[in-house]
Formats: sequence, structure tokens, C-alpha cells
Amino acid sequence: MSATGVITGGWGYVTAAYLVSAVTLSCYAASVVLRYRAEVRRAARESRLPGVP
Amino acid sequence: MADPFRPPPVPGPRLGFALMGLGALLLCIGSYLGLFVAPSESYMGDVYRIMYVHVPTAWNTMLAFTFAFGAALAFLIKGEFKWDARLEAAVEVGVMMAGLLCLQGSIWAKPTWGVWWDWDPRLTTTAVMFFAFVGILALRRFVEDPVKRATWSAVATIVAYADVPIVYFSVRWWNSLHQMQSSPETVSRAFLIPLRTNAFAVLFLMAGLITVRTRIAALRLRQEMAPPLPEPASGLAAEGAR
Repeated sequence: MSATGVITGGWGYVTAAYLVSAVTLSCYAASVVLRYRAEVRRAARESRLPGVP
Repeated sequence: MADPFRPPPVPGPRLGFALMGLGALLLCIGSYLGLFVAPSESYMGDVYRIMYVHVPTAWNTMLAFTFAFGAALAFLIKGEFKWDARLEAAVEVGVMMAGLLCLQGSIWAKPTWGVWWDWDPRLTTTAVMFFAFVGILALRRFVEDPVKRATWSAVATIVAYADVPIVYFSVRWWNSLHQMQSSPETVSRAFLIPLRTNAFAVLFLMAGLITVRTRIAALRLRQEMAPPLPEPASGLAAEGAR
């Protein structure tokens, strides 16, 4: 920060905030998609078991 | 009240995936505009560009918890398990976004306030909101009976939601390091376009995530509520033993 109170630079913080956001949202979205596929596979497997309508 | 043992329907996830894709595309466009097209701010220089991800995350976190609150009320009134699945999805997505919100805010606080964290009213009430909803996710993990789990987590969601308006109004009610809410009248037009683009981007992404996550919760509920497998016939068991 300069003597005038104006913040100079700071691109490192901006990059960090965007990277943290991208990584968090991507990882969570990937986990949701993977969990959904696993649940669909499990439901399909169980529906083929004898005695399950 | 509807039959509490009726599992929720599980429609296809196409809408959810489409919303997620649209949200991701808009987020790329909005972030490009915010990082490379929008001008610097007079006092905060380039650090203010964190606003383009931080503010949309804040708005949509509160929206996710508001949806969870609505789902909790709907479950308690109607007793349909589709609302329990929606509640579980909205709380999980909201917790993920509230955690991200705290990280983004912390990264913005360091160059502007000189500290990563401060026990200021806005930050403290946001931390309380985060941990209250984490508690609801923990509660859901520990209760096995679907009826008790749905009822208790609906009541807990309504109690936890009391903090959400406090988070919003904290900057008006108390002296806070955190700035007050801006409005289109107080924000330059050059800053508004990337902000609105990212607000809709995060909204679509959040709606898509909640939609697909609801399917997961509904599929698990169907499995939990399915009738148990029939016992093997005694004759067959005797045959196997021989």
C-alpha cells in the first residue's frame, strides 16, 4: 500500500482467489458427478438382484 | 401428511448437467471480463477484482441456505421425502460455497485490512453460519432412521437459518470492518457487467449442483427405504449345507 492509502500491485492475491475458487468449484462438481454415477451404477446393480422389483 | 415411507422420485439429471455447463461457461466469460476488461478501482487498485468471485459466492451461498430453509419447511408441512433430498443437497452445496466464501474473503482481507481474519460482526456471523450448517451435515451422517433424520435436520435447518439474515444485516447493525452492501447506484457501470455475469454464472452452477446432488440423495433414500431382500428358502439352505 502506498502513502496515499491506494493499494498497488496485489495481483498475487487476485490470482490466489481465482485459483482457490476454480479448484474448489471444479473438485466439488467432479465429486458430485462421480457420486451420481456411482449411485446410478449401484441402483442398477441392485435392481437386477432376485426379489427386488 | 404424505406417506413418510414413500421414497422420492428420481428424474433424469440432464437439466442439472446443462445448468452446470452453462454456469461454468458464464463463469469463464465473467472472470475474463473482471480480470482483463474492467478498469482498476481508485483505492483498491487491482485487488478489488476479487469482488467478481467473492460477491457472487456470497449472494448464492445465502440463496442456497434460503432454498434449504424452504425445503425444510416444505418437508415439515408436506412430509414428502423429495424435500428432504433437496434440503440435503442445498445444505451441502451451501456449506461448500460458505467455505469458499471465507477463503476468498480471507485472501481479500490480507492486502486491504492487513489481516487474514478478524472477529468482526460480518466475519463472525458468517463463520457461525458455516459451522451451523456443517453441524446439520454431521447430524445427517449420524442418524440412520430416514424419518428421524429428515425431521431433525429440517428443524435444525430452520434454527440455523436464523443466522442468515443476521449475516446480511450485520454490516448495517454493527460497526464492521467489512463494507456495506453496494447497489447499482453506487457501483460504476464498468464494474456491474462482470459482476452480474458472474452472479448468474454462480447461480446456474449452484442450481445445477443442487439438482444433481438431489438425485444422489433421492437414489440413496430409495435404497434405504426399499423393502429388505427375502430370506433364502430353508430347503435351499439345507441343500447348500449338504
